[in-house]
Amino acid sequence: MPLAEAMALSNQYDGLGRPSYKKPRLHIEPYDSFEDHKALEELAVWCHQFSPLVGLAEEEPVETLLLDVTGIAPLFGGEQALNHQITTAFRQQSLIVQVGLANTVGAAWALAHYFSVGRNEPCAVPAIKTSSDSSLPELRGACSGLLELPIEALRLPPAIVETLTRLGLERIGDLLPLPRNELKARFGAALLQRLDQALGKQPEIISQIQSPSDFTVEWLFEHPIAQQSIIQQVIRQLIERLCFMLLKQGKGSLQLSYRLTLLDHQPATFEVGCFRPSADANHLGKLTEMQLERLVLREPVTSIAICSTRHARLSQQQKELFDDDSIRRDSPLVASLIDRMAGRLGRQAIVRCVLQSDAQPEKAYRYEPLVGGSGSRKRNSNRSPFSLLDRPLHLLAKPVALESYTVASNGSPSQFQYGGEQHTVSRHWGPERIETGWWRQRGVRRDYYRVETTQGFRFWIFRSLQDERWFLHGAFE
Amino acid sequence: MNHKILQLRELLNRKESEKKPYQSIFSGCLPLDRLLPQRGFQQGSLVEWIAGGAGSGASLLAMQAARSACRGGGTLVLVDRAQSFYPPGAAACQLDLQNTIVVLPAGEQDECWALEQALRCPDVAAVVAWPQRLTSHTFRRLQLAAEHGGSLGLLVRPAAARNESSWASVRMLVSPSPRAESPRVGRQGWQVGIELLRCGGLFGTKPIEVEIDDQTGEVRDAYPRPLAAQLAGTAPDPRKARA
Repeated sequence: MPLAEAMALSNQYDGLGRPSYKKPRLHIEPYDSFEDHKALEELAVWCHQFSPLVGLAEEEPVETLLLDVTGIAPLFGGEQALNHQITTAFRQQSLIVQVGLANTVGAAWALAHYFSVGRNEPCAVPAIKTSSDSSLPELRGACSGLLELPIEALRLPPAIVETLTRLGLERIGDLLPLPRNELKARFGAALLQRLDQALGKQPEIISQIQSPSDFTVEWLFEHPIAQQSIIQQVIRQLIERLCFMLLKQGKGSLQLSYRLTLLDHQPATFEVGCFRPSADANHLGKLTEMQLERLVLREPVTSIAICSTRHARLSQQQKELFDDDSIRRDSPLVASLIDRMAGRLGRQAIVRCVLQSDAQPEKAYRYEPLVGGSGSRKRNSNRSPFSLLDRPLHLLAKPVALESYTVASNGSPSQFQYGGEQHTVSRHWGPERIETGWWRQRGVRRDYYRVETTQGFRFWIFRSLQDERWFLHGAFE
Repeated sequence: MNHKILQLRELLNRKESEKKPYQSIFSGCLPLDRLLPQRGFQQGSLVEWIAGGAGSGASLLAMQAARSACRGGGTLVLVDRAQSFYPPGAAACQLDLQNTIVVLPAGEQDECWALEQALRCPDVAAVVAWPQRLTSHTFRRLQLAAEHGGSLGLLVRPAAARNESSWASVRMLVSPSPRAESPRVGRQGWQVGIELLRCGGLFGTKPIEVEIDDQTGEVRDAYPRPLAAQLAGTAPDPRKARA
């Protein structure tokens, strides 16, 4: 949730609504989408107690579990009893869940997100019974609950929802009387696809999350082995076996977990991550070798186990007959490069930049690890609101206080000392005032100046309005 | 003697172009391209920008070249050991961050390894890095990696690197121009001097002065030559002409 909401809930404000530093401090952790996704997959595996087929919804961010409970309800005493048991089990895990039960994935998603909101008790959700060739009056009768839900319940892109709302189409039921060909021409195939999926006219598959034990291979040695070459040979064979299992299901591994059981010691473990799902034994073997080189085995090894803890569907890309030299966005060579670099330098060292709309320069971006994601790279907005020289290419991790400075009568800097050198300002642009909101615990109030010295060097400096000190924050390298 | 030198220079250029079947890439700076024999940087080569100090503009020029190299949707790899690269500044330079991979190595060895790996990858269009120290042996490895992969390596080095040996095919010193007491009328942008220290068969050419437009980022001649003089090929020094 947003930080301000968390602080309000944890009562971090004094009687006047200002942030209070006397109350017990809130522990803040940055959001990690990779760990979040991993935790959700573990939850999906835990849900196998309710259904053998559990998957994650295809959405960003992922926050919905899909369980196929066809024919299972009688085992739990009926649909209501199943609903109750699921909700209670989640509550015991300190998790609040909203449940939607229907005979299509789309309808169940819609009910869970829009019908069950605000209900704390397991609710008696009517199952929607439709058939693929139902006429409009039959649909209205069978799906009355679904048709009253808002358009957003169809999992449409925000742009289509906004257009439909502007046209006065706010409920799912408003779409049914409209001619299908006109809807398709106006909004594309996505709208009709989602509508058909919700009404059961088009099937939708749940991509099953396998329990980790499904992709595990193990080798038990008759006698403990210390020779590195034998260990490497065994690992190579295990990887080939694992890749064969993955390929049979059309999957590739995103993360492999290795466990080497030692004779009289704690087992040695390490992990290998991939940028894209891979079932290439050669590629995974090379990444593993890089990790093995750094591993020191104090005792002989008695067994080796490799488990694919995260995996995803392999993407198939047909090669073009007349392939030119232009670089494709999702090049397998670049993916392999990313995997190798992440294997040697660590997952956190190979990142992509994501711009954030935050006034404070240090928080105007974040880095996201490339390896360990869902395998797809969502396109983020990289449009900058600044012109070329509004922001420097290099920013100091922490602003450096200027050793001495002189300020002109209009408040702009005229001279300053930095790095043992005296600089005289010949031109400046600014001030650009940057202030953060009152809800930020350590807010900033700064007047930034771009300065060009008489020697032609350009720097980004600011005056802190809180203590009137001057700092250098970046250089236009 | 001059005739002999010109012949040798042509022979050298021919031999080098035989080795490198790669295209030349617009450097992002038209005045600089006019100086370069291939009218741009060669794919599969290293380009070294030596910064005349903090705030000299060397990285900005390197980014312009990187943007040009990645114009066809290619991948850019940035190796940033100091972790001082500022993505919003790069986005303001219209760099496509979606196709940019940032590598944050912990030490020098990892930095050189990452550089070599990235240069070797055929699908990486350009690699930008700020290595502080490069031994001759490592530099040679990077040059071979660039040749092998066909990437353009753009290395921004500190001023102290000027006296070190280099395997870059183009080596430039970038230093901003001091602001005169009475500035030239109409001067709006950031004036920066580029001295071509080495390029193929060229050595010690006259430094050029370019102006970076503050708004558009266009890099142009700081002292544009009159058209007639351009056509004639022998342009008078504009400063003497005004005097």
